Amino acid sequence: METISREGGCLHTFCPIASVAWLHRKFNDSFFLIVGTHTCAHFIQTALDVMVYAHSRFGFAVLEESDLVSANLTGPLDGVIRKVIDEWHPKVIFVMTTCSIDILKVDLQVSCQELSKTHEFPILLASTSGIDRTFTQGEDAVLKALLPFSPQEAPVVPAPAPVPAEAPVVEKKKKWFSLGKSEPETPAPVAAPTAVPAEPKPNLVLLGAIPDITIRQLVWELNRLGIPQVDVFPSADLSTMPPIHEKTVVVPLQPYLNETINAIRRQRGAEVLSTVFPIGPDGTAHFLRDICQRFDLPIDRVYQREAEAWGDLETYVNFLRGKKIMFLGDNLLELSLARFLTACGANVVEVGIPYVHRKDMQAELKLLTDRQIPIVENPDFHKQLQRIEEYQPDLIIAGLGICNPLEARGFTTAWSIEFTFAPIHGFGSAVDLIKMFTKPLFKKQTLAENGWGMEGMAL
Amino acid sequence: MKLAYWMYEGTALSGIARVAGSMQRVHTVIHGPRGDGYINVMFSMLERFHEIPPFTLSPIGQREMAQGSRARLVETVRRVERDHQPDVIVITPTCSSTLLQEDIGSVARTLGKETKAKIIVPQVNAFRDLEHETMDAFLTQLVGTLVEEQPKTERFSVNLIGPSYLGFHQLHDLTEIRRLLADVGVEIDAVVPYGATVEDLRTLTRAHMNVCLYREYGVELCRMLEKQYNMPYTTITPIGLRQTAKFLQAIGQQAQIDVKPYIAKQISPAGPLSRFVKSVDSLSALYGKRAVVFGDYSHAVGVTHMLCEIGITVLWAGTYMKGLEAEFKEAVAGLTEEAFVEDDFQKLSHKIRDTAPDVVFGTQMERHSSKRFQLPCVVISAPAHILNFPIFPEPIVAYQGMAQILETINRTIRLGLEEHLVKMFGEEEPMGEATAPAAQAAAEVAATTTTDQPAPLSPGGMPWEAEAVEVLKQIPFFVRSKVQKNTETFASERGHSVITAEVLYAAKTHFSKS
Repeated sequence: METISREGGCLHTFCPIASVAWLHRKFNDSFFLIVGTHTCAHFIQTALDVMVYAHSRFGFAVLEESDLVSANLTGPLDGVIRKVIDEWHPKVIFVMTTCSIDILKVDLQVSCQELSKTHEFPILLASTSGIDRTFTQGEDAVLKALLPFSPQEAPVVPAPAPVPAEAPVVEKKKKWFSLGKSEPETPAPVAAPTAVPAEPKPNLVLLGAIPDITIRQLVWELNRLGIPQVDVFPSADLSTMPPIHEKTVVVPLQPYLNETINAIRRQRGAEVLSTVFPIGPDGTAHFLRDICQRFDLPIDRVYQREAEAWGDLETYVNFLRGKKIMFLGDNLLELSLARFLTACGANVVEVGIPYVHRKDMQAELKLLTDRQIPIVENPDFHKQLQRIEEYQPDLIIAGLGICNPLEARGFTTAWSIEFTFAPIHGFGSAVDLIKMFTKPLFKKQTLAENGWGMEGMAL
Repeated sequence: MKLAYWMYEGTALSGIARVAGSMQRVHTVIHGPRGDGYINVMFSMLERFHEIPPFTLSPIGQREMAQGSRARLVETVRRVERDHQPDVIVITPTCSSTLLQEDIGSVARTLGKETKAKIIVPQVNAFRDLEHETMDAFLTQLVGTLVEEQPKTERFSVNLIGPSYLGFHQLHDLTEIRRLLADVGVEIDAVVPYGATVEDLRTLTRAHMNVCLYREYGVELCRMLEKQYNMPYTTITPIGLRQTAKFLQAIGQQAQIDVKPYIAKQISPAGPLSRFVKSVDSLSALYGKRAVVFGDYSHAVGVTHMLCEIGITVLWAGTYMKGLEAEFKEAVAGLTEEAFVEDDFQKLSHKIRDTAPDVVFGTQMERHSSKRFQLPCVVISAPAHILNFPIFPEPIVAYQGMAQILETINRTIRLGLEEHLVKMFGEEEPMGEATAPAAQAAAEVAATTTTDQPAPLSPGGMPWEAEAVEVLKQIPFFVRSKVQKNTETFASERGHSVITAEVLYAAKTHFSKS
């Protein structure tokens, strides 16, 4: 691992409460309450106002001076929560904590437990403090808070229906089998309804809050590979979270869910399949192959799908080949994105990343270190600026705060935050994903050809 | 603890950043957790900064929480001095770092002995204070530290206090004020804080008068300069005819210049302002319309005046500057039936709904509210969206500003009347999925298909397998029928007779490529 170096931080990234932007619509009848300072509210409304609407299902419990001297914030928090209940009637409230709560050393866990009892619905604590966390890790905290809603055991039901009270699911399953007319599907050995109902049944759970349409296509791929039942954590509804137990195989979809993964391992004894993330055709194929191998299923079809997906990307790949690309480090997707770009033949000159979880990221790390791609953990922006001048990258993936200044210096940039908002998973999103890299480069080329190059100056 | 959805005023940190970040050769060290670096985003995105904003974060992480942040802060300040060589280094606390109760002042005093740059720690309560009061206090502190008595400039000159980055169209206002004052023969000596150097602040007393452009901040500074250096000042924001005339007269009086002929020329019947306001088309579009106004102090007052000047009825006018209640009520007295202060976004939103005016003048928040109630809205005050950080000239003040607002009102009202026809994006899916025909059909198909028999979603369309329908239902409602149509075209071109999920996904890939 000698290609990983470490610097002293000071990078441009968002606070984890920013994750409210993509989480607040993910769960039915939910409300996200951020307990913090005026700055927290000001940050969300100024940094994210393009992406979120006023009066969405989130708000702020802003600390006042009287709260600073109070040993217990249950009372004040209850007052705010009552107002939220009156207006929104949520079925779950996520209380997101911030730096100030860490600094004040207030324990809101107990408050949330008490208030859950008072109001008779879940009020869940998610620690999204920005002390040493980057913005995508907010999702990790929220998913971890949801883990208790996953049953430890599969519901006890008579075979053959794997999930009760959901007739359409059974029917849907039948449909999945009737697809792929050209080649007969292998019957699934994994979730075949042969297990004794009382015992936890083996199941496959995909982990991550990615857009429904994207996850559905991944599930579809897995169905066609011979896994008829694929569960997803989290589901939009707390009452339909999939079972997770010692016979569950969990496969993470996002590279920043380490705390949730840890909790799943420790509390549920589930197996977490360590593979790469289904980002890009190469990553998706690797991901699907590892799952198939885990369940002793044939993998030939994966190769075929991968080849098709690369075929769709051909023009873009040709364009990216040899391009120098640098990640400054922001969203923790950097290792997977760099691996994909490398597979496209791009020359990744530096993968800056806020933090590398050596264990959970081992498969991705191996692919990068095998190819000698330089990884800089917790990078120092000022040193990166010097390296930018040295490397002269064709494209820089950077935090929102520094894209415009880098563009003004003549560099081409892509916003790192966009990769968390856009669908980038699976074969189906591969075109969208690669376009996020090629679009800024094409734009630069288009402008240069249309009056912004020498031609424009000659007039 | 207070429930808030949106805040009208920014934080002390944003106030300090606006002052320090607008000046030259001033670098700010932000002493706070990583997230507080969002100040950079505000500058580089909203102002489309072409340089790396002059802020360096001295991050507070676990190590600093456990061992104190002094070492990190010292290291950061030294590096800023080495890399940027500024004249002033501002070390600012943030909301959360204030809670650590560390003595930044002592760090500054120690460091100040070794740095060439002057080190200044803003004397504010970063946890409690709001943006504008902080700007005022910090400006006063900065000037108070640096200013010296100077001989007056030979010709009459004024200092413009106010223009700064992240203000509402303020830099465009600055251009307009420069032109206006040049037209009447008044020189501008210094502009504060935008573009100001330490030297500019030191010699601020050269000018004959201070002009505080926005009542929200800068008044304390003007009062201090009046008290200590005998400099007169005015706080009129020149928005609309009467306020602009008053503004010019206040300056003209000090400069002993007769500004009346100039004013008369601006509003003469042949001039563009008069032609616009008195034209018959504005009779139907603007005259007699019922409006409501809300914003910071200076814009709410100015726009209320201006609306009355073009014959629009102002049903009520409000400001979120709670500290200026009495002054505000007096400033709009006689122009509207109801004047108030309010800083609760929700309450204001309900008030707009209940009033249902023809047009709303407000901040970005009122634009959101107006959109929910399908009312046309003109944004006239911070807090604003990137749309209100135009890079090309769009002043709000003086005659050009009035012209610009009039054009905006005209377009907004007229387009607003048509907007219900073209409503593209609702805030939420209005009535769930049931409103979209394709989805409705999809729901019916999904509900009735008990066999594997695929059915068409629309008359004459291709049959869809229920599984494909399920996938279609996940596509956002406003593009769903387009996707349905494209998929069917794609399928028939390739000789498919039924839409399966596979066909749909292939179509999706195909269309995303083009």
